[in-house]
Amino acid sequence: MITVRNLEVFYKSSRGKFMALAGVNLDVEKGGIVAVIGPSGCGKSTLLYTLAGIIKEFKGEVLIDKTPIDPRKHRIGLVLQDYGLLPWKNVIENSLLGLRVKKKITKTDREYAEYLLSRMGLSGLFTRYPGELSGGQRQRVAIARAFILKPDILLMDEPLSALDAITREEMQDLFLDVWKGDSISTVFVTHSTEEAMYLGKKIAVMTGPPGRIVKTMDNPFFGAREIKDPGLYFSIKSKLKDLIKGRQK
Amino acid sequence: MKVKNTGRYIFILFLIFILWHIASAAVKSPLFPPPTAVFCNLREVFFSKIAVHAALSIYRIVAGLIISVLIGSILGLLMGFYHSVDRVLSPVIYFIYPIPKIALLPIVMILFGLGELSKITLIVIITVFQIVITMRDTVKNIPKETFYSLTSLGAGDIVVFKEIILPAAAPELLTAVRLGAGTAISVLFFTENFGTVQGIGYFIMDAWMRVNYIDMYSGILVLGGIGLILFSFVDALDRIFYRWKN
Ligand SMILES: Nc1ncnc2c1ncn2[C@@H]1O[C@H](COP(=O)(O)OP(=O)(O)O)[C@@H](O)[C@H]1O
Ligand SMILES: [Mg+2]
Repeated sequence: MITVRNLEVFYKSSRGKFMALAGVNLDVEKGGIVAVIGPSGCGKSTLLYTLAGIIKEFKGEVLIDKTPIDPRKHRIGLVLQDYGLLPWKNVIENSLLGLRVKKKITKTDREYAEYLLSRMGLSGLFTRYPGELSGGQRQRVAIARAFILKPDILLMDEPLSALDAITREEMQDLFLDVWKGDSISTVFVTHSTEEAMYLGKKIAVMTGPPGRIVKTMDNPFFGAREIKDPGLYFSIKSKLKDLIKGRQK
Repeated sequence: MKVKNTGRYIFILFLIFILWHIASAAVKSPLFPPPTAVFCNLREVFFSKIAVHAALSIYRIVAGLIISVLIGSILGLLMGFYHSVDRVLSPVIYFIYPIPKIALLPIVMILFGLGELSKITLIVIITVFQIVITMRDTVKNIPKETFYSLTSLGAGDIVVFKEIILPAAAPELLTAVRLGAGTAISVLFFTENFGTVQGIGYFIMDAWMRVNYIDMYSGILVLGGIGLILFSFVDALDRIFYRWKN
């Protein structure tokens, strides 16, 4: 469970303070998945970095299962758009990195990692380095690594944005498939309305800067590839687009 | 692949020697003997006269480079990682780096004597700056997202150094070592002309004074060979350890 209350974040530089988040409120229930959508630069990554314990100075409250966020206590699975993998570690080493920082790797861990990697379509690539993989394969490793950690919360920062449309849909299905097995409380940041409507049980719309969550709504189309009610689908979609652009109806 | 590489080296060296031979035949001067004469001389005198000089020179270069790498990478990595260290040390480095340190040879000799210590010290103070700056910039250029996955796991500085800083910096360190090795060899040649009767630099200059050009060229050839061996060794390390880069 993730609780964010009145979160304010500033970036300080020589030119002064820049307000990146202005009073963000967000709830992700246990086993919930919230898609955060908003235009580029509105503060989505900033929100995620704060949830991940990377940004440590903030005002307001960030709680994971009712205790203040602490990356040493909590297990945080983080998937970024790129650079998430270490180029000098091969696939299996990268996928175990998260666990290795937390504890000693056992045989069971290794087997689970191999199982998940295979399920992500990476069998046969275990000893490859990130530089020898396609963009899609790299993101599969990054996603597998997050799940292998068995995290308390899962944070995804536009993990599929750099992929082509076909790979992207494949990866969305794969992600959801693995996610449903574990149902970890998840924040999934995206700038695509389609992706938000496929992967979010709830959708939170963010605008900015400074970043605010202007609307949180339930999403009846979570996990649905076939749209039974196109009328409703497109009305929600256009509503989302309006909210993102800052137009109210 | 290894065999092919060696073949390539031999082939190219062979071409150089042929050119040398042609040039020498054209000039016809005792100042510029043909490679065959030099090789014959090398076969006779290498073990009796040159090997001990070469070994000592290699020792000075390798010791100097190792000390340089140790000091340089520790300073450089800390400067790259901790902004506060960089702020204090950068001005110092920038100030000392451009001073022509060869000019310090007399002072170094007064401080460290005429022996090995002053020669190695000079190599260190000339090569260490390149290593410091390369290491610092390498660490600074690591995309900050690379650190995020470890930070979000609650990893401390030691883990970050071990998992990110060192592996990211190591291949660049080899590049700095290559540059340093070239510099070290030239510096050594210079220092071996002062206060010593040992080392390949001394051997070459001594042969020149004795007007023994064949010996002089033999020494130069050995000096080149030392460089070749050093560089090939660094290349080999590169291939063994940094498969992920290629
Ligand atoms: N390190 C930083 N220093 C100053 N401003 C920053 C920094 N990082 C991001 N910003 C600013 O904060 C705002 C939010 O950035 P970000 O969270 O990356 O947005 P998003 O992920 O939604 O594209 C942007 O306007 C950006 O310019
Ligand atoms: Mg972003």
